[in-house]
Amino acid sequence: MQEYGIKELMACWISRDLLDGERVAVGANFPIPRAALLLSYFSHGPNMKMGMGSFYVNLKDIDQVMTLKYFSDYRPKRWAESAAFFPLDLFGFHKLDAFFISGIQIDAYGNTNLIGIPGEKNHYKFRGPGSIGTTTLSAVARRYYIVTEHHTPRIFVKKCAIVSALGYGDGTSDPRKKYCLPGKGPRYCITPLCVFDFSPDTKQMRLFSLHPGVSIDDVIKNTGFQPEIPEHIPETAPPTLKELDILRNRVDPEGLLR
Amino acid sequence: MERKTAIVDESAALSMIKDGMTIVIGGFITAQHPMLLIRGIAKEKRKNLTVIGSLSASLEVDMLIGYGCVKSLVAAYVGAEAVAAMGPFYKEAGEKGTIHIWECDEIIIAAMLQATASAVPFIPVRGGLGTDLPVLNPDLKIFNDPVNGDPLLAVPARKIDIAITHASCADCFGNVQYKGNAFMDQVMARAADFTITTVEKIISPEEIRQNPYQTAYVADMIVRAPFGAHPFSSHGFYPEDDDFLTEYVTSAYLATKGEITGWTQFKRKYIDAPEDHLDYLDAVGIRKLFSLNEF
Repeated sequence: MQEYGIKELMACWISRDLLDGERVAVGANFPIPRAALLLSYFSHGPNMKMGMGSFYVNLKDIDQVMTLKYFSDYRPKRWAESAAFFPLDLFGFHKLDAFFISGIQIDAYGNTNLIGIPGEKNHYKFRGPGSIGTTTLSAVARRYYIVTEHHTPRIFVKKCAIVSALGYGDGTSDPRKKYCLPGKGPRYCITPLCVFDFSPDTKQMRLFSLHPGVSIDDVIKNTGFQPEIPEHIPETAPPTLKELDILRNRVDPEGLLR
Repeated sequence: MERKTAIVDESAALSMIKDGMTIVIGGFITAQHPMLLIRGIAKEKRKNLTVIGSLSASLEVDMLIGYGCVKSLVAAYVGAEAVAAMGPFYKEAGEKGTIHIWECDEIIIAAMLQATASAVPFIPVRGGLGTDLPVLNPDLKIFNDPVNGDPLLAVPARKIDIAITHASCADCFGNVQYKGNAFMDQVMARAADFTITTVEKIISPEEIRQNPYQTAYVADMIVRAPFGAHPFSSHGFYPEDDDFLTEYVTSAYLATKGEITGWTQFKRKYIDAPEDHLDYLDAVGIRKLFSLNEF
């Protein structure tokens, strides 16, 4: 069997959930979702509206794309059909079918925190990078995925110290309905150990699949809350040869995800 | 009577920026920040500035925090992505509580600028409801939409003294054009009382009139500044200078850990010693600058 990196598996898994024809964009400094989006475009999504940095691009017949170190790199312009219009696109994010969010904390109900861990008074024990665009995107994009490169009890907490992007609140009522938010919220949370979905009744994270070689115990040990554990948990389907071929030769030739 | 020129030198532009002012900085993350002016503000040690970053901002804001110029910050992000998830001085200031951070996301800043530019008291957004943003930032007020009754978040307008931006070119009358993305610069110029723009090239008024649709706004002052966004990218001219950004991040990070040698050297070489922009470009070096190419 072909060997693969765990980040490659995460990208392949996400790419299968992105559909042809969808409008999808990826924020700054987020290599796994970026690779997932390109992979879905090349493997089954020629009609996708492809956000690449601050452009929408047409990559038909492009053998290999460059790795973007910076979101506002202008060089994808060579493939661009349109550029992000400021500020109109900022108010048009509700037309995005899918987006991706991470957090320094991720809680049991899919709320995320990019602001920081508060200390005393106005101080932070740990100051995070800031909300970027996630506060609005989590509210208005049709769905989103929580993606993290680290699965630890410090990140997966019972309750975020600060919520900068709303998932499903505290699960007791439907906050998305209460606040009339057009977005349906997080669909999956993808980590280096497993995939979580959200129980339709409780809106709590529920173990959806385990990556090859990972046990339920590994997940429980590394999660700061008790996720719902269904009776039958499948193994996350590993990357196929075709996926790895596209990923390594066209999307990620520099091997960022290896 | 003659029509006046908008072109000024660096010191005339810098003299407009005074202690205690509210300034908004153009560009977006690692693109098109007016670094000539940023370095000038740092070198001349302006104090108590309220700085509105470019929605998501980068190390230009971090540098101003490091120089102690910032009292209050409006930014959804301060960092350089993979080079620095967070600006070192921004992180330190957040943890020590030495600056006030007006908590927001990119769209909230965009709404604030749009409200100011439109001369309305606020613009409503949906993002932020059900989060801690209105708790951390009491300026963001939840209200019920009078049309449909939905809860919404009101983002207030804010008086902005000066917008500072970096663009591709302008003529002597302050007509500013971009070869690439102007990001939020146009709205910033419309929102601020006064706009200072540094440009890669000065072009003729005839050239501007060849394509008036391309003119993004009219600035009050223009400063000629080839490589004026360095170490950030200037669309159509040069990409980011990775080595320089890394040098900044490394020395600034160590300075926040108490090892100030590198930061002291960096400051002297690139900010405090250069008399003007050309001196700065000399310090960076012509080979480095000309190596910044698309391919």
